[in-house]
Amino acid sequence: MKILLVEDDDVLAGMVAQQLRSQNYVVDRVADGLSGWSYASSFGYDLLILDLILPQMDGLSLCQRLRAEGDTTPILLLTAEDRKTTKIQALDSGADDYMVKPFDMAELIARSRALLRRGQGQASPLVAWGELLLNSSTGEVSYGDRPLQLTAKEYKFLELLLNSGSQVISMAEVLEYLWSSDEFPVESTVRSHLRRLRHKLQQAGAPPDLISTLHGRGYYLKAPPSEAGAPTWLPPNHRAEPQDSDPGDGPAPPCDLLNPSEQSVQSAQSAQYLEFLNHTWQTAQTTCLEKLNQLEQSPRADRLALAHSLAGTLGMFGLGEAVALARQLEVAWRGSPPDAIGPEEQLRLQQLRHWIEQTHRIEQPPPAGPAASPALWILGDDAALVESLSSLALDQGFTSRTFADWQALLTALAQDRPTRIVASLGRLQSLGDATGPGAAHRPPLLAQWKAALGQIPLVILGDRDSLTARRQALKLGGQFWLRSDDSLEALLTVNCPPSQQPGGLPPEQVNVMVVDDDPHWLTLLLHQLQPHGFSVTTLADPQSFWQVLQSVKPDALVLDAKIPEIDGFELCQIVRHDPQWQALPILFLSILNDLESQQLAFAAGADDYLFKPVGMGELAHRICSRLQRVRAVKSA
Amino acid sequence: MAASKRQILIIDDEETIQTVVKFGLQLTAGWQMLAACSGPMGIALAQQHQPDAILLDVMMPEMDGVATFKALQAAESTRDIPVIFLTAKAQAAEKKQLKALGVSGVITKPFNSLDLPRLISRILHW
Repeated sequence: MKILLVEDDDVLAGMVAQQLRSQNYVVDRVADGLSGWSYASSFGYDLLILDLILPQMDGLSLCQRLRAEGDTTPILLLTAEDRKTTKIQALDSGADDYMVKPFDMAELIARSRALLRRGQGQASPLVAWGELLLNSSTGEVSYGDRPLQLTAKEYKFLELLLNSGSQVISMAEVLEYLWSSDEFPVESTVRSHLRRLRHKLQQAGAPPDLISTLHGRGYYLKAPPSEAGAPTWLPPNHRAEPQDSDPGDGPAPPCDLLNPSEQSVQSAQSAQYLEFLNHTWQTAQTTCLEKLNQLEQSPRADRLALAHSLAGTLGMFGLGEAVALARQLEVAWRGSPPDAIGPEEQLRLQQLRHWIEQTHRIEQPPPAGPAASPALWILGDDAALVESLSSLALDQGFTSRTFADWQALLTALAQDRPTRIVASLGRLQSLGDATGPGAAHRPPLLAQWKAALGQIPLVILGDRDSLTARRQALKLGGQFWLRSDDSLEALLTVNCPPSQQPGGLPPEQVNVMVVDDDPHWLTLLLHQLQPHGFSVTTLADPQSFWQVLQSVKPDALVLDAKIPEIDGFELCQIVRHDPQWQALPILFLSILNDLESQQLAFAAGADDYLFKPVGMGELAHRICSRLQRVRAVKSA
Repeated sequence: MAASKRQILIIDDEETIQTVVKFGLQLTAGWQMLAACSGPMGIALAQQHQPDAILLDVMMPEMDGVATFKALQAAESTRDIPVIFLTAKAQAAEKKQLKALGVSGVITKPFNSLDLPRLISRILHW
């Protein structure tokens, strides 16, 4: 629930705002009537609390103006004048309630709550959805008999869903409702809150899909069995049996609730929309490529606008990675960039071109919102540490994910790349021990760990600072960090040197063969991998694959998954079936970022799978890690 | 959602965005859409057709969204048409500045056009 407080007395405003916030309301406060008008008419509020005497425009005029504009938001007027005429004037101007200063804070809260309920069409502070029960006057939430301990954000999230019935709530609405207009959290923060809320609900016995996601659209409450898609507002004394609501007290159901047939209309519309996007993409793709050509030849003054325009267009098709590249270019060209396009921008341009060219089909409509926020993965050995790291991550705009053991983390690394990993040394001990003497068959495990880690910064938390601990951290490819509560914050920013690479960059010339049908990409790889000490053989036509393989005898093979005529998966299988090439490191580098393609690749015998676009440093690193692994296996 | 047939004017220099928005508005709400690819053209269309709302891109060449909005506000015939900005950025300061101008709301790009009628209705209390 969002409240706008228009009050020029700073002390009083501070107190009222604090009290309201303590009740889980989101409060915006402004100090004059005109700002009040501007806020109330621009943002959606559930309640307006206005002082009568205000600079620039008084509370009565503001109230009249809002009502004249058709604004029906409940209004509570505050005044120092306890005169009957003023009260009448206030109510005549369209206010819903009136309080005389000095007032009792508890009464203000109670009246606000009553007005908010009226605004929502609720007659009672209890809202039920099947077994789920939310009491807005006590802030208590329960599922069945089990109480839920929710954070303020989780509570508000649930309240928003309950107030919306089975109407789908978009990400933008969640952001608007849960945060005040000064805060701009990223969407992944919402998802983190949602994840925890779902977890808590599930622990209390709710079905896992109680809060359902409609892909690309938002969230909604799934109707409980045998109930219509509307929350039930219960009489205040009600407790145990949510289904016994008094229909007379309930609100008229909102007009845009979704019943199952409406939901199917929505998914049909989504499908139609997707088809339309694909149809439009056929021409938009050409337009985007033309813009890209134009951009490369434009004077610097025009580049910024073109990059912005590309980002806008690509965004409509939900091409997140391409949008991110265009935005990076836009940012790079703000201010006064040099006349020539720098090497980094060149690389981004090539990657962007590649993305646009390779996008033949739009798979899903835009989910809306900014590029993904940084992700922190946590492998902690006690709940308190995990909790403080998670909330720290949230505060700093990270999403967080926790793991029980390093095996789970390793599995996850095959599918996702966090921005940073923080792990307790204790949790990595068994992995570290694998390198100890007598564990000759195990080194590949550590190599596998490091290969999976790539260049992701890893901070290893130790309880005691000792040479042994630091040595272990180094072996595990991480930066040692002495654990203490005050030092946690710096963990998210501490600079980690790239994880130590056994063997380092290739000691001798390493031949890498790359098969990809995109000549731009091949040229790019050729030029970018050479500085890392590789000799690169590129091949665009898979027909001559076997001859080239036999003559080049590469140390590593990089395959695109999508090659015309014969795909990368098949090529990989063919190679693996020849005893000579069974140990050859094979890495897939593909635009296909779905799980199925990855599984296909690994099933075909691939060692690693990377998504395009990929940083050349990371690709070089992954190739080295694979080679290192092969060497380790040979020497074991 | 309002049952009446609304008419929305979009002012955005990206033709693709116009096309996709038009489709979304028609599919989900049956609303009509007028499109203009520049500020001056948008102002002319607004004067002529008096749409129910205007979706206005902030960053456009020559006459940008803010200048277009000010021109719409300055003219008697377009002053009362609610304007919603479309912006790629949702920076705190910027969003606030835009709202301080007196626009009805801000929608951040990229958006899913299927959500637009609901977003617009919500912002404008339709």
